[in-house]
Amino acid sequence: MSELPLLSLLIWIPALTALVLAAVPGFTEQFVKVGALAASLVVFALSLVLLFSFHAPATGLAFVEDHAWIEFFHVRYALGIDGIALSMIVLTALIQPMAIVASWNAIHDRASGFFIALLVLEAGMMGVFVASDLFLFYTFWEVMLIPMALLIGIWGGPRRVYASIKFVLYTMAGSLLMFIAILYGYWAVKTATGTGSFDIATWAQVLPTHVSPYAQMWLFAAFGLSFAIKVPLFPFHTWLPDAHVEAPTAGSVILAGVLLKMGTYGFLRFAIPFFPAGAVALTPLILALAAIGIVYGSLMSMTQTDIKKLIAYSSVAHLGFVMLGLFSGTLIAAQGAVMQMVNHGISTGALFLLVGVIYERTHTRGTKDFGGLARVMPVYATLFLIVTLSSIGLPGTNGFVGEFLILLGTFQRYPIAAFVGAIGVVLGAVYMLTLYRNVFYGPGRPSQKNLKDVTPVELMVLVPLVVLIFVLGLQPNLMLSLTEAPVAKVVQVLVPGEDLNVTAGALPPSAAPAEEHAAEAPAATEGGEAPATPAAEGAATDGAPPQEVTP
Amino acid sequence: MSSLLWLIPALPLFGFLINGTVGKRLPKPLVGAIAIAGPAIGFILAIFAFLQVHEGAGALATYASWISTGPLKVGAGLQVDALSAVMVLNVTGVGSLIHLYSYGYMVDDAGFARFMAYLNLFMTSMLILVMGDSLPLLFVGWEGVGLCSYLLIGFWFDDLANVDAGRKAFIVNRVGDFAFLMGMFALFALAGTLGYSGLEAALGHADTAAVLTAGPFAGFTVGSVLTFAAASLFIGATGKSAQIPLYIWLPDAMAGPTPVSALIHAATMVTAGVYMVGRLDFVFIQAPAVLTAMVLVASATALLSGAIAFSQNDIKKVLAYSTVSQLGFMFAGMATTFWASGLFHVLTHAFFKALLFLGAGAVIHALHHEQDIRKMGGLRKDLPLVFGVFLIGSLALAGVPPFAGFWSKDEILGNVLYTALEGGNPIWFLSFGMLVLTALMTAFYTTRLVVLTFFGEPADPNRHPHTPPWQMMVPLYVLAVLSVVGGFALASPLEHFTEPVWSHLHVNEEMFHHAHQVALATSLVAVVLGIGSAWWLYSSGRARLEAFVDGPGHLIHKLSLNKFYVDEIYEWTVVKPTQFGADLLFWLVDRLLIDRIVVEGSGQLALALGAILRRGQTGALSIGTFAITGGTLAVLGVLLYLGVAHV
Repeated sequence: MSELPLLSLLIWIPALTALVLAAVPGFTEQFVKVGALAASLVVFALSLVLLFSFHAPATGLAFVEDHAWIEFFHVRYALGIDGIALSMIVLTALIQPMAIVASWNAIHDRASGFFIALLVLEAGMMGVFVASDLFLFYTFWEVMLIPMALLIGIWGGPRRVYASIKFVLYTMAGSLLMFIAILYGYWAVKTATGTGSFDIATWAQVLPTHVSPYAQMWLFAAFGLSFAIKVPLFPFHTWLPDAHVEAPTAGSVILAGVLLKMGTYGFLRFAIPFFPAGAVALTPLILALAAIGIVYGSLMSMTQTDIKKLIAYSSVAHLGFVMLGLFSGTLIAAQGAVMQMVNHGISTGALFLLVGVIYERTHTRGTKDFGGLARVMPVYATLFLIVTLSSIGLPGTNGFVGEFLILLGTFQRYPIAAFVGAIGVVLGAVYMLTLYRNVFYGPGRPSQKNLKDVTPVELMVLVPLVVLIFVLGLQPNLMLSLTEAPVAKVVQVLVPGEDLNVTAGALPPSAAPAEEHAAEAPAATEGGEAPATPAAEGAATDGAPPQEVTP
Repeated sequence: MSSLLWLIPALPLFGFLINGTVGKRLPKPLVGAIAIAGPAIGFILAIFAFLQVHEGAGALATYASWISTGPLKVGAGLQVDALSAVMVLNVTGVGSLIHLYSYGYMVDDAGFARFMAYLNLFMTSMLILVMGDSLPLLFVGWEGVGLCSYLLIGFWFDDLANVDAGRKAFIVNRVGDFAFLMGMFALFALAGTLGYSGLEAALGHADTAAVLTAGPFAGFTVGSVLTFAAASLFIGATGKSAQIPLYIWLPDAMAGPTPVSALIHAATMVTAGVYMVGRLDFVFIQAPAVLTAMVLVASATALLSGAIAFSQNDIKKVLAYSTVSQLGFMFAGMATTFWASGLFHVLTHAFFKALLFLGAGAVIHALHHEQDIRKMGGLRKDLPLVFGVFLIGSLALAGVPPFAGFWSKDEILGNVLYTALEGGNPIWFLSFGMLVLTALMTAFYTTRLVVLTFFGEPADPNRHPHTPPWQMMVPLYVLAVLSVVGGFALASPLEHFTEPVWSHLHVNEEMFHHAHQVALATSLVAVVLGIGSAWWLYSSGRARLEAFVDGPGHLIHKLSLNKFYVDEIYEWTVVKPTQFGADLLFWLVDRLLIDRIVVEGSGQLALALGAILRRGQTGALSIGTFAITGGTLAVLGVLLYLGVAHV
């Protein structure tokens, strides 16, 4: 493993760049932009180094760094990642330079500040994903809030102040509850072990057994509310459409691409492992909200006339899928959920980038303000179509794998929730294809006859996302293998003692033709046509509980 | 051969990638050659695969793992057994002909390269559908052909009507896909795998009375879960293969260029549901209730759409409703579990319906995009060759012996009657009756179509129809030959060839023979009546027709003309309520309840509190800042206290 403190670099390169760019007077805006882009590209390169040199250790985390920080209450500067965190890091590092490039000519007012805020935001996001000390995590969690609020509040649209405050208050409400729960957890760990600790692994080891199930429920709820707001889980979502509509393109891209995943990541990394009894107790509620959220978010998308708002509500639906998978208690669905976190970052990030492209040209965003763009901007139309297909989960794209795994897995345990969630598959096609119809098809508008197709720079930003859509759609194992072990650990917490590699209700392969059931079939089964005798290892059903046969 | 199987779906994909990216800059003949090469070479490879299967060796190849996590293992694998081999031959064979035809039909269109690229992408998807070795791969093809259908129906996207037809197709199909997914999930719950061989091993001879103790269906019997799965899968098939209640997209799909209607909406894609049922025969055979429902739905669909085809005036709409109707015949054949009869009709229908659509395309092309049969007439003299092949297709569709359609339709009618006699279930008798009536109607509307289009006097004496180019005529000739010989030449070989792949029920030979004789006699009478009445009504001007429509036929004509108002019923029971409900939810729940009352309400409460606490200074921003700063400070204070207290 590398000698360099790679994880620290992920945080401190953007942070220190931001500090230098902010502190040294006299830099031109151009210099700030280039500096921000350079820093984000270095971080991206580092994330790739991490990706390719990552070997999951048998236990614990990879790329561990651990230093004392605030010793008198056992806070450590401790970093380390697993496969889940790694995929989030790569996603963040990829989205960041895209957000910067997309803002290059879009921000005129106090541009330096804008790019500095983006860098601080990246440092915060990276910190959240790499921290293995809860206090450190919480610090970054709060750090993130400020630049995002500024991005919306200063560089946003006409109702930016309202949206920004809504965003901050929503988030703060959750964060405060989480903070109280953290204090309680610290105290509980200290009581149980004799020494205080904010080490995440220690908490996951101690809390489940030393905190009463009742207390776990409240603690889970406190953590969970904070994360549910971030996700956002229905009905805590109303900050999101406002934030997206008012945020500049870069803000929307990062918000959709990374920030929303903080919520689901929080459930995976903290809420479920710390308080499994609470998670199990509240699973029905969360599944219900997730399934409702899928349908509700989709229906809301259908009614929107602002493209950004439409996509924002579609995020509510997509993140509903993620929550469904995370709490399904099956490895298949949870793996799909983690994959869908990345997928949503790619496809929704790309959608906001794409909307930014036409917004910059026309300064309008209404679904009814466009028409016939497929003739005027064919390359743009093609890219938009591919991203749309990813968003509605067409096979071949990444979106399909995520949704399919989530629904298939969830069905194995909660068929009703999967049934309701799958309605979103239908509704998703309704609102996205309607959007596509309105913007790209039809006779076209005279005022839009001369719109320029995507520029090379825009293409540079969009093409990697489109490539990823297909790479993950055709070779999802690249990602699934990365996250399988850590995801299995979390799922196991929800269903202790169950073999995750087995489909619970599956029949063993039938060795011989069964006896005829005259009542079941219109005529007797002809015995001679039995399929090839299946080998015992033929199906992945070893160890399935034997079925009860009624006479 | 196995190692080359991947080429069959991959070749058209190359064509798609080339024509889809740089096709616009290539010379048109090259674009056409690239596009046709894929399915044509695929057809040759398919013959080799077919021969290999014929010798008794199935072709199988797994290339890589596609999705693998936990207990789920989905490979990227292709398989060609007897069923797939027939489908692949059909898809690549008819597909190649239609690609060639498309060159002649579309070469002058501005979007020619895009059109050929989409056609190639369709071929790839369709071939994955019939060659994949697992349900997820079938679903890849299933949704892939849906996408291509969407793109091709809305090919001329400057007109939103076309786009809306494509969107409708996609969304209605998604409803079917929803059910398909549920069926697939249920099968996974039972078998723990989604590959065909694993599914068949686990479910092929399952003890249907056994009660499950774990999984989502704990407490249910295996048989009831299989019934649920089969029902869900069949609902999925009603989307793709246009049966009640989801057939409504197919007639609208005629908005696409005519070769698309021939390839996708007649010969190949719409038969995907039939293929799926045949592929999962071991599931359906264990769900007799679903088979009974299937025959009822299928024959009702056949009857309803046959009745609508009566009065349509758009040449393509007549053929579209006819396709829906014929698909009903195919499903009726599958429902009898004499699977080969359903597949047989898939094949013959592919020949004669592709022929009819392409023939209609030749007429439309000749008349400069005129599609209204009332404005045609007398084309017999202007386009004698087109008339000849169209007549052959019509005879095959109407079920006149010895043309192709007669054989397969008769086979199905006989099987349905046999199943009715065997089980004594009145639903099967009812279905047989509806199918016979449909056969009569088919003969009727086919005759009407031919008479109005080709006989009589030209509606516009000054028209100048231009003769189709050879690229359009050659496919017509080939399909015409197939429509003549495809029936008697294939009837018995097909059954023997597909024998190994299908589960069978015991057959009472004597009753079987008897049923087929009765069915043959009945259907021949129906065909004669249908042709005769249509000829009587349409062959000598409009007087008789008008007397009929104004008199005894008033109601049926009005219902038929308005397609029994099914679209309107859906509009008012599904589409509008959903839109209205969504609007209502948005304003009442999202805006009013959550935002206005809960969120802003508590905000205003905080504001009021803030005003009391900090007189003089108000405003949301300051409250926000105050809350954040104050909150953070308070928390830090508690933290410090705790930290100090415990050290």
